[in-house]
Amino acid sequence: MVEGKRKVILDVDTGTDDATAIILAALAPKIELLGITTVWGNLPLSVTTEQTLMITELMKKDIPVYVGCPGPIARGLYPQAHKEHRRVAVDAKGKEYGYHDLFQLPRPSAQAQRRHGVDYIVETCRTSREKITLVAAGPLTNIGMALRIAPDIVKNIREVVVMGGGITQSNSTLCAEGNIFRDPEAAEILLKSGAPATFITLDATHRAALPVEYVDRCRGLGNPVGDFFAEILRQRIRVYNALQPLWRGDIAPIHDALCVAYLLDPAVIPDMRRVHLNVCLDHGNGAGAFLIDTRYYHLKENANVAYDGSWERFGEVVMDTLEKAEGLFWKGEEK
Amino acid sequence: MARKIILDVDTGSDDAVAIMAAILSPDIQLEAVCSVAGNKDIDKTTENTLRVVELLGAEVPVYRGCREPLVKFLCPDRLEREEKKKVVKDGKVVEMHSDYLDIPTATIREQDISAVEFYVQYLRQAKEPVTLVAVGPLTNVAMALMVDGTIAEKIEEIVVMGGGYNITNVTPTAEFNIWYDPEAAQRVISSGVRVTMVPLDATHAACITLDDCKRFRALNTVSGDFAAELCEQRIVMHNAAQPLDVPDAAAVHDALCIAYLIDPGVLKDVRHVHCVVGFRDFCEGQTIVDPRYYTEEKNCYYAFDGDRFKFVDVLCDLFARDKRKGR
Repeated sequence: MVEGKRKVILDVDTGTDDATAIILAALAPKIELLGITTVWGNLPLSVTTEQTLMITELMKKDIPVYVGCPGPIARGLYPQAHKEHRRVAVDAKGKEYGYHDLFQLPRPSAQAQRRHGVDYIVETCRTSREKITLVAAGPLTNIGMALRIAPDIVKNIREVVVMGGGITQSNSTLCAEGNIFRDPEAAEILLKSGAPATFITLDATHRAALPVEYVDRCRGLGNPVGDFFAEILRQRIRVYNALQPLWRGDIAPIHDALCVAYLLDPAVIPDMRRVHLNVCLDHGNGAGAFLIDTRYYHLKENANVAYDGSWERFGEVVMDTLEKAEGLFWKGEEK
Repeated sequence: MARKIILDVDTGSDDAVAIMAAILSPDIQLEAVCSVAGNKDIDKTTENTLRVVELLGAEVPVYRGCREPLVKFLCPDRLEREEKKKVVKDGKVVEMHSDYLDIPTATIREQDISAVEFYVQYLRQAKEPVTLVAVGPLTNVAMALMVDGTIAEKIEEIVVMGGGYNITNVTPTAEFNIWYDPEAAQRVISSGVRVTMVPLDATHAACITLDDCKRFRALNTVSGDFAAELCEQRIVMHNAAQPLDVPDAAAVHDALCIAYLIDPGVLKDVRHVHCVVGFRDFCEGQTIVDPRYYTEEKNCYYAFDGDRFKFVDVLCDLFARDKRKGR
C-alpha cells in the first residue's frame, strides 16, 4: 500500500478524452491506479480495450486492463429504444472526422487480463483494506453490474466519480448526455445503491474546456505523452469548432480528464451541489435526462452534481501532472 | 324498425364492403359515415368513402375525421411499422388496400363540419339511441367521448372492428386498428358504453372464399360485382402474405361488423371480458384479455369466433337488394 494515495479503478470507453483521463490518473502522484476496466460506449468494446492498452503502453506503465461489458444492461432489449445519431464533420479534402477518431499509435503488445472487468471491480472493492474510488468515464454498465452482483461493495467504495449527465447542457440528445443516455438503467442502479456518487456533468466539462493555447503548451513539454495529449486536444478543438461550438471558439472539453483532475484538486469544480437526482428511464424524448429535484422540500440528497467547472484550474492541474511525464520517451530515444 | 347507426371508416377495401352493406340493409338506417386516418391517409380514406357512397347513390352525409392518432405520433419511442413485403400478381403490385378504390372519382363532397363535431352535435340532439360501428382506428370516437362524456348515454352500442386474441396482423401481438391508435382504443373500451369487439379471431373464421365471390357476381348488381372484385383482391393478398385455414379465402373484417347487426349469429363464442390495450414495447396495440377467473371488471364483449356461412348469406342477401345492375 502506498501511503496517502487514493486507490482508483478507472472505467473507460477509450475514446479520445478517456485517453487523457488515463494519462492523468497514471501520472498523478496522489493516485494509485490499481487497474483499468473497459466498457462499450464511444466505440465498440474491442476498440475501447485495444485503445486503452495503447495508452498504457504509451505511458510505459504496467497497469492491468480488464475487459468489461459490450453493451447496456437493458436498453438493447427494447424494440423501440431511442437511436443515437452520431455526427461527423468533413474536412476540405472530403475526409470525415469525429469526436473519437482512432489513435495513430502502435498496436499494443500487451494483452488485457483474462478476468472480467465487472468481476475485477467486485473483487477489488471486496478485498481492499482501503476504500476504493471508482472513476467512470463511460456508460455505467460495469459499475451497475458490479453493484447488482455485489451490493455489499458499497461499504468499501469511497466515491464513484462519474463523467456523465448535464443540467443545462447535453450532447447525445436534446436533453441527455452520452454516457447516461447509453445506459440510463445502470446510472439509476448507482443512484439507488447508496454508494457516494459524484457526477461531473457537461455543465462542468463545457465550462472547463481547454483553450487552444494548451496544444502548444503540452507539446512544449517535449515528451511523447505531452505530444499525444496535445494531438488529442487539437483534434477535439477542431471537431468542437465544426460540430458543437461552445461558449467560445477554439476550446474543447476533455470531459473524462476533469473527473481525474477533480480527485487531484476539487477546486476544478467551483460549484458542486448535493441534490436528489434521478435519471429518466423513458424511451421517448426524455430518455437519459437528468432529473434533479429542485423543490425546497426535495427528496433526500443522493448525489453530488457539478454545476460549473474552472478551465483555469483544470489547465493548471493538467500541466502540473503532465510535467511528471518527464522521462517518458519512445523506446530507444531516451535522453 | 331499422337500427340507427353511424359508420366510422378508413376506406379501405373491406370498409367499402361494409359501407355498401350498411347502405343496402333494410334493418339499418345509416345516419352518417365518418372517415378516419388508418389504412390510408385522411384525404384518401375520405375520398374513397365518398366514392362508395356515390357508387350506390346513397343520400348519406360523409364527415371528414381525424388525420392522426390521439398521441402516438408525438412519441418517438412508439414502434414503427415494419416495411411490408410487396405482393406482385400478373406483373402488378397488389395491395390489401389500393390508395384509391377502382371506381369513379367522387363528385359529392364531405360535410363542412368535422367528424368529431358531428358526433357531439348529433348525439347531443339524438332522441333515440344510436349504434356506432367503428371499423378503423378509434380516434374520432375517443375524441368525441372526450369532448362530451354525456353523449355516451345516447350510444346503444359501439361495435369495433379491432384487436386479436390468437390472431394478429401488424405486429406479433397487435391488430392494425388498435395498434394505430392504442390510446383511443383504450378510451373507447373503458368508456362504459356497451362495446362489442370484432377481432381477427372472428373475422378470420368468418372468411369469404373465391366461391363466395362467384355468388356475389351472380347477383349481377353493382355492389355484388364491386364486393367480389375487392374480396378477390384481398384473397390474392391473404394467399401471398397470410394464408387462412380455408384455402383461397380472405377476411373482410369491417363488413362482419355490419353483418353482426343484421344477424348476431355471424359472431360466435362472444364472451364478456375485461380487456385492456398495450401501449408500448412488444405489446403495443395488443388487446389483452384478462384470463383470470377473478377477472377485473368486465368492459366489453369479445368475439372469439365467427360463422362464415351465415356471414356470406347476409352479404348475398344485401347485395341482391341493390337496384343497380352490373358494373
